[in-house]
Amino acid sequence: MQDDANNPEKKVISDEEIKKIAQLSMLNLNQDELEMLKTDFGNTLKLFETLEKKDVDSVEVSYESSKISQPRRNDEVLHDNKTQKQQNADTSPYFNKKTGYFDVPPVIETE
Amino acid sequence: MLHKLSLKQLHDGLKNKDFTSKELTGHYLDRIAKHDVNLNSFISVTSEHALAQAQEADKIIQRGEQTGMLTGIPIAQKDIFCTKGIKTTCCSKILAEFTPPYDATVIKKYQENNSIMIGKTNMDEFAMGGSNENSYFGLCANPWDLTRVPGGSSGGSASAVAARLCPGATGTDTGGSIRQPASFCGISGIKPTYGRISRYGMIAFASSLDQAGPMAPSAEDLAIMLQAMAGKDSQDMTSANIEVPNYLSYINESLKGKKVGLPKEFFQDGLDDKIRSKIEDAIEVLKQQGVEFVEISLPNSVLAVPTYYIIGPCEASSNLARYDGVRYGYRTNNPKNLESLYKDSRAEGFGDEVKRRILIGTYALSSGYYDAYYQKAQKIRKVIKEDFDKAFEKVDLILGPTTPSFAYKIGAMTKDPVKMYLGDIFTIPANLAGLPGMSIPVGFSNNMPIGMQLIGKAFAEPEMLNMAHIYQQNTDWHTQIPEKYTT
Repeated sequence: MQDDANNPEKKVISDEEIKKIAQLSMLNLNQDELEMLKTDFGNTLKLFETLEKKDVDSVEVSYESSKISQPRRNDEVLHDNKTQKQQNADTSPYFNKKTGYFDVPPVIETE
Repeated sequence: MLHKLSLKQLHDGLKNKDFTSKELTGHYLDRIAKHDVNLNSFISVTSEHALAQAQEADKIIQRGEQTGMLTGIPIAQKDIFCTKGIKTTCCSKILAEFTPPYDATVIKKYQENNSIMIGKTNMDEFAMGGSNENSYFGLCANPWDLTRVPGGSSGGSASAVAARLCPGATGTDTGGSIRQPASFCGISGIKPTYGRISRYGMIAFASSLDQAGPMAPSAEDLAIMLQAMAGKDSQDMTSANIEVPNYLSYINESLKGKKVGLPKEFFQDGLDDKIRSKIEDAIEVLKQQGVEFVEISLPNSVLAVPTYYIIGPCEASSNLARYDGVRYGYRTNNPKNLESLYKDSRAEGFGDEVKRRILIGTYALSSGYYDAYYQKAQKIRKVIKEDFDKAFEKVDLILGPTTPSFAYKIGAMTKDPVKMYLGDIFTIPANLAGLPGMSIPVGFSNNMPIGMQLIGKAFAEPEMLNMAHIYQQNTDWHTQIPEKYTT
């Protein structure tokens, strides 16, 4: 398994696929990066092939490692979220104190 | 020679007024100034903050108030914990200028214990890596051999403790990031049970696996630090609502009659013979203390690495979506439009390993692949946990190597990330099962340290610290300091 996983010749993902994943990941990657990441990506997928042989069809899916139940609390505001959020915003260089919004480039293009 | 004292000895020294916290803090700051040029274990040295805290601690001690075990003692914090008013970068370009407006719970707890924060330590970017080579602020060296890696992701903490630039440091462990660097640097480190320590203010990588823990020379030191860090926190709904025991009160218990399992899968081909031999020596030491050993099997542990490298990246791709250049963190210069603001900020702000994991995670969660990868990995995670449940019906603790090999040369693995992933083979199973794991030093080969791992049932930290402490009472590996850093 390890040899296959480490064989850079075994690419199992196409250029289109890696570009699609980069788009979904919101990462603007240049051609060199795409090539490098494609190779690494392929090798990682080869590593995952070891899981294919394992039959877990009858296993119930579980998303937590601990079964400890957590106590519930009353639905009351415990923290002053507004002040906290304001403090967070105030430390951001992109927060516009006049408008109370974060500045980003215009979404609607102007001439 | 203050840096050769244990946390308990430092506590006694401060209490007896043999030295002040200011002197102690000054001593460690001097050591950092002298030695860290070559190690790069610290990202920020918070001298002013530390000396001000030391002054306060000295006042408390002077007043003769009841002091905690960590009062006036300097501790280094991994740069993953948010520190109010002090830069917290996670060693990423994307957070290089980020100063949090709040403290992580771990930081608060150290403050409540009147401990001194001496600085923030180097790490792999967003805790992704096993060598500290993925840090935006440059690699960190192993004090035992400056041409070798300290391990990762808590490499800075391990390196700083090993060189005695601080008496203890915090780390975080998602797939081995406390235990593997502890093993590579010849110190002790414990990843407690998932939920034992609050994750609030600890920058997220993979939320179902991330867990903070202490790193220090000895198990006794770890017990003192864990005491300060553990406990339920209303800010983290996954923190366990289970009473925190007095760890120090357990560490001297007799080991007679304890049963320890040796998983056959941890001792197969691929394990360096020198490591195997040192683990066998350690087993002999424990046998003399009345510990009984039996062979056990964790048959699905061989699937842990691929399982982890699906679940971890899936959670990371989701957690790291918050870095979009809009509200905080790095923003690209002159974005063409809103989409370019997101995509260029992220492309310029993240390093290669982080990008790799975001891509893998996004792929495994994307339409058409979710069942084959993410859901299947979650099922295998359950099966791995069941292997542990079965093993713990017969044994109290599980013992094995921490890593299959020694600290490797800087640059040796950078071109082959998958090979580096496979180095986590013995540490990942405990993370997937949410169980506590620890690494303690058990010897050297060619002057490089070797670590031994203990894995316990959920919340079995007292038993693990007990066994590690008794072992350390009968050996002196944990007291070894690299020659260059002894004086």
